Amino acid sequence: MFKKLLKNLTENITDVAKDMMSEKMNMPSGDHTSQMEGYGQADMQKIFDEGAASKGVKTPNTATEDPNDPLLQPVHGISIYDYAAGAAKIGEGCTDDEICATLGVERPLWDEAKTIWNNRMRDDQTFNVINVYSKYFGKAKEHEKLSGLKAAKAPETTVPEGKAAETLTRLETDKHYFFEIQGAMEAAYATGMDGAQWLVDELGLTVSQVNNAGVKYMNDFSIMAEMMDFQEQKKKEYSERFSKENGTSGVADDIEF
Amino acid sequence: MFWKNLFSSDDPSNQSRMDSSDTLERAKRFFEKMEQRAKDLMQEVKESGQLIADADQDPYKRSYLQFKAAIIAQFTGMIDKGTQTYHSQIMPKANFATMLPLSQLYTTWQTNLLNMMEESFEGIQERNLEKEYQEIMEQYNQARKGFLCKQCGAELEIQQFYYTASYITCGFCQSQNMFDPGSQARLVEHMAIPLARARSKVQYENYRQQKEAVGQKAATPAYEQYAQAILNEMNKILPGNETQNQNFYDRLLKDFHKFHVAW
Repeated sequence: MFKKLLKNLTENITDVAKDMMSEKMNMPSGDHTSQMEGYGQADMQKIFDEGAASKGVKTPNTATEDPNDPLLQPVHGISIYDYAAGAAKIGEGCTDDEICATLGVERPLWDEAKTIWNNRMRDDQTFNVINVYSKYFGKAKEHEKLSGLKAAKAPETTVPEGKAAETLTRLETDKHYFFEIQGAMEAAYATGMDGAQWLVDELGLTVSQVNNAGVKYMNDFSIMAEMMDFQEQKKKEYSERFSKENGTSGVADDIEF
Repeated sequence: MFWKNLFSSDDPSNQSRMDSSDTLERAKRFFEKMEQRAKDLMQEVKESGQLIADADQDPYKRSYLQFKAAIIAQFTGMIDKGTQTYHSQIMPKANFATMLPLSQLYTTWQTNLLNMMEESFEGIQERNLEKEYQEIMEQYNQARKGFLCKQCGAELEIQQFYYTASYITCGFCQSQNMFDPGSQARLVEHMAIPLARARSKVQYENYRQQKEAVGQKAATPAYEQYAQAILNEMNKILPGNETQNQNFYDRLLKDFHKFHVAW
């Protein structure tokens, strides 16, 4: 994979060089200074925000909600918050019909709104709409109408509801625990397990609920950079645990130098 | 005196030369074994991968993707192990004579493993989009027959393809009815782009050949033909969606001109 990538770059090096030169000459000088400040303070989020801004692209921190922005206008009365919270609820096992009933809209309007919101996100080259969507996806539990909606057919689990709710609160407030569970999910998939099912069995929560709980961490590059090693360590620990539980191992574990 | 020292087993420099040639041999054996194990894994995936993909009836192929993720994790695990061993056990024992051959041994081995990881899944068709699409359209054509007005009972004609729930007005009593195309038909909205790409393979291969020959910028007309082919197919798959399909076409071209495309 990497060999082929390098091969293409080598063969078209003149194109790459010309693009790099034209990008350098077009880069506004002010952004470079701001980015250097970010580097000096090791503020990864600031570096990312400034770099994205220099290309006319928004990030979770710099996204704006102009009430006159045509791309953010409600569709059939369904706002971006309604759409994002609805998507989060679908991730928890709710159906589109349940969401329609809770929002008080008919199915054709909800279906068309979904299509139009998706199209706006696809067309928006500044990524503003998708960043606003992400913000509201993470606030599904505060939505006026949808926060209390529970799926009639939620995934089955033996974890008591109260325990699952405690775990959810812990994920929202304990950064280390959130990244531990991210590492655990990675380890589950790496050892051939269904990570989403493991979450349901072990914590009584869906992937959507878990990821929703940590949107504020995932939107901050500084936190992600800070927690990278910790997550990797947890991934290793859970990999060992899952390998023992399932009787699986690395195919080359027996080979030593 | 000099000769005595050269062949003396007590001579530290002689011991060092024996250690390093032993290290090179051991490293060769280690990486050969690791590579053979990777080859065995690749062979197994090639033999069973397509069967697993075909057996997975889930529209999102989640079981197959779980299998694929586990295989990729096995390959990356081997690469990690080889890399750790190289840095922590092999290179500390290297000297000026063995450093370069050891480095080349490791780099070649790592490249081979990455290639094998990619090759394992080459040719495996995760989804037969054309077949899925035809099956969905057959089901849709059955479902739209016999759709009756809830007010007067007249049979309503569903003339176009609806991939979302839609209002249909009865031509007899003017009542508004809700037509639900079903969960399968809804999948078409999300498969339109990959299906359109799959149907435009001839134009894609032409663009790739042009790009290899003359570079990305000079291959622009060929890429525009490929993008137009995708647009034409999307308009067939999602009729009534022409404006959005055109936006997608415009975005393809804009990104092509803005970014260097590695593929």
